[in-house]
Amino acid sequence: MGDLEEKSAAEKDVEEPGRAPGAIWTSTAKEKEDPKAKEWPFPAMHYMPAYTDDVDPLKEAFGNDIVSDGDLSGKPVVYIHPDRALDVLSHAKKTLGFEHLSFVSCCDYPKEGILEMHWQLYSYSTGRHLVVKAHLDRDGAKRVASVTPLWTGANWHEREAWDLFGVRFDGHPDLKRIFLPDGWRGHPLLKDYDETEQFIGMDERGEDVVYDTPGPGRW
Amino acid sequence: MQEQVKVAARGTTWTLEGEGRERFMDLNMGPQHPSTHGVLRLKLHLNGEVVERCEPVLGYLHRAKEKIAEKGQWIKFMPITDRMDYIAGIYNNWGYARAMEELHEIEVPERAEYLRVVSGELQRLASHYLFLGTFGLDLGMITPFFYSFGDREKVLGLIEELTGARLTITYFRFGGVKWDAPEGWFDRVESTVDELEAHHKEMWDLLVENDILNMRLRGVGVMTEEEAVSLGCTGPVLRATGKEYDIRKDDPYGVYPRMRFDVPTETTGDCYGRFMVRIREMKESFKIIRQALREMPDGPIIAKGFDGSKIIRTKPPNKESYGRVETPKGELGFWLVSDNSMKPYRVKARGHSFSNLHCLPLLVEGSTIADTVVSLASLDIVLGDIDR
Amino acid sequence: MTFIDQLHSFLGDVAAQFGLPEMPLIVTKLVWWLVASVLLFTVALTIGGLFTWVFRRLFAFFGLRKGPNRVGPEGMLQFLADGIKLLTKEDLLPSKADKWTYRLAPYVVVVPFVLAWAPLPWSDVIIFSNLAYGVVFILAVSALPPLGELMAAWGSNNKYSMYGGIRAAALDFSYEIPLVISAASIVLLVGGLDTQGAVMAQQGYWFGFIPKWFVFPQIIGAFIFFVSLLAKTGIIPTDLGESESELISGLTTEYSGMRFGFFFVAMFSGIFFLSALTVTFFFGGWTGPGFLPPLVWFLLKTFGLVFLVFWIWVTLPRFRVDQFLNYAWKTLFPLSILNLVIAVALKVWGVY
Repeated sequence: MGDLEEKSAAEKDVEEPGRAPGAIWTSTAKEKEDPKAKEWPFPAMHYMPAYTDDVDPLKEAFGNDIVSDGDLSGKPVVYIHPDRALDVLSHAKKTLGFEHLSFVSCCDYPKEGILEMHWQLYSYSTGRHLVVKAHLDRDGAKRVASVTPLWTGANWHEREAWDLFGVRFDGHPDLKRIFLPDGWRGHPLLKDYDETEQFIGMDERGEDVVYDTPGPGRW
Repeated sequence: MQEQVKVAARGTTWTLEGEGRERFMDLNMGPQHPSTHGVLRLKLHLNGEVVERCEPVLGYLHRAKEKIAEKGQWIKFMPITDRMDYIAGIYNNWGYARAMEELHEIEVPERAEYLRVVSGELQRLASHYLFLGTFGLDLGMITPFFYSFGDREKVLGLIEELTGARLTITYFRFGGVKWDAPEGWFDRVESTVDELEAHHKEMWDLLVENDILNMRLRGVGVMTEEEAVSLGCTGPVLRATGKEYDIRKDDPYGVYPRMRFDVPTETTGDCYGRFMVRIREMKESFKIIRQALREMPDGPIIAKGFDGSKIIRTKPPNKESYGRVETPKGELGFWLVSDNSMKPYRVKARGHSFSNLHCLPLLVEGSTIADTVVSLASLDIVLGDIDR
Repeated sequence: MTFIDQLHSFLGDVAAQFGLPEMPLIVTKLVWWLVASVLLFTVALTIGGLFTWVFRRLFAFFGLRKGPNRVGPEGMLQFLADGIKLLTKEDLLPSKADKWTYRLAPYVVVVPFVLAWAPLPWSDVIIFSNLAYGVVFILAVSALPPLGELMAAWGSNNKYSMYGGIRAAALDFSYEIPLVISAASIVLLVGGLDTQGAVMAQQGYWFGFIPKWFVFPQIIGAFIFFVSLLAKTGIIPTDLGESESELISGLTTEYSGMRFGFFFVAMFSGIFFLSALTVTFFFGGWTGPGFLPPLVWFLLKTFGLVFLVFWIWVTLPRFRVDQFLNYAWKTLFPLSILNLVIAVALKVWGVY
């Protein structure tokens, strides 16, 4: 216990200017003094509008490529032009310090005719979130740059997005289906996917069927 | 004729290639293999016993949960989340509930949050007990399996008393929990935690102070902090590399800001580090449970307007949210998109094991088959979460 | 008059009563050999079977469980039930298996362990065959199972089996050397190659209370012998050939029914046999104070060692194959040479 309190006291002394208002550090020492910690609900539970500390520098750096910005329940969102995805994300990682890519995924909006790319970022050093979104033409080529050069872990997330949404990631080392068999037709999480379709994994000669795999396999 | 021979060679006998002394063999580990923890399939390219290349093949347990989510009401996805990480079902509930509470701006009553912490930490203990048992089994130790499953049984008994279920729990609701604690439950939790802590000492002696175990784990499956961060590893896998990061501390939710606990880290980044982080985390869970029991307030257990059957008609505003929790295995997040209807427009689950497993080729390439098994076990994956 | 001659004349008397001509001596010898080897097999396999029960009860005891306790008194006949189950199971043959190698391998594994029982002294009178070169016979015969393991590995046409077989054979070959060298130092101290002589040499006491067991002057040798025993039986810290969690039971993956049962019996029979051998060489064999018969002393000591083996089995994790082979060649091999030097020194100084 002694170690813990010493450490907490040390933590308290260090001011962290970059920390988001939504996220609070806790420490034992602080709790004992601060009557607010006994209140309910916590300050963290009041849903604040998204902080714009990271959106503004992105806007400065990329100008018109940042289409707009928004709010994802307290996390800042920037909408970017899909062609500049790698540049913006690279800037976000290397300059703004968003080291952690939680996931890459998509959402399909057939009425608007868009497929929305979604990169969920988090910064270990400042504790802030950033969501980067880009709109692809859902009936077009659905091409966007792969972020595997920045985050190795994006590999499987992008394969998942290809598998379930049919997004092609340029520069991906091994873009092939991850969950579904290689012979699957269609991309199931698209809203217009025909769910009655039956999967037949082999052809008349008993060979495995492979449809439309863009990337070279490792094997 | 020539072609037929080739096909037969690929399917049934040795696949040898290369010149001179180098002879390679492809080996399928899984989907049915005792130590792939489910239906994971590893394609191993071997030179003798040394793994030259390793490729995990997923999808044998894919159940299209994200598609299922779009078919029913919001709350109807709650029981389905249990089946993702079925070792720690409560945390899937928690991640989904947290995302929904951020989306809908629900204020959770204090008692509900404390019940969540107690049940969640019990679930973390259950998950880590399962890890210890199966980890020992993968290393060839048989007894820790029985010891840890005996202890896990006690934890599951408590969870069953609270929720009525043992594995797929579905305890959480939007804005609170389903059941209040039965009479005398808190006392039983306290006495059980004392008992478990005594047993934990025994397990520590049996496992941590075992020389052969140390020989097998130290320096096996090493990963640096940069690699772990780049790969998106979270949870004990990340903390074993020295990064002190725990969502309960760094992006706190519920009543975790009030809880006093340490985040155990190791600097080695090998299997030993990952194993030690987990076994030390259990001690912290004991602490958290004790504190939560001490501070347990009275009051309602579910937010107003979300109790009873009203919950099925939940219509969140036309927004999106991303809520994440620290599960025993890492960051579990749910990205919800609502179009102000009774059904989710899109639910995306960011699985902890899915991201953690991705580092396996990095860990095992260049090591032996035996180390592959240990590295895989030390990641503590659960296939229900990977394939979803 | 030897036992065989007595038997011959007895059988001749019996034959004469029925008016049959006198049989040559070789027939009597054949009859005796047959009876003795059936007895030997029965004892060895029954002990192997019974040991599965002992092991499972002990295993349950260590794992806070009950173990088999329904069939017969305290579940003692469980091994018979298991045997019937194994006998009535389908004997599967993988379609691409090498038929003869696959079918022969279990016997090649199990027979040496049974044969090796022959020159083992159970008491001052009970010994199946008191060979003058018993130690050499035991060491030679117990070096055969790697052949069976390789046959099983190759015959199964399974990659996991192949790995298991090669690992098991490598392990057995490596541990043969320290085992033989530490046995050689015992032979040196005894001054003879028969097992009964080795036990006789350990009779008596130093200072009136320390038994003259070879474990005291040959503590290193006893350790090496014990570790090699673990390696040769292939139980858990060293079950690299089987390694359930890595190679899916390794070389027994493809076996079913009684063929699998033979591997199983060979393992348990081997544990008992090698424990008994360690007791014979290092713990005074059947010698002991007179209030218990020699056979009981022998069994007590052997069971004590078997208990230790089982304890190790359930407690320790498995070695990695390179670690354990390194241990054989870099640690145990020099140690066994050192042990031999100590034995030579003891002999030269006239202690023995």
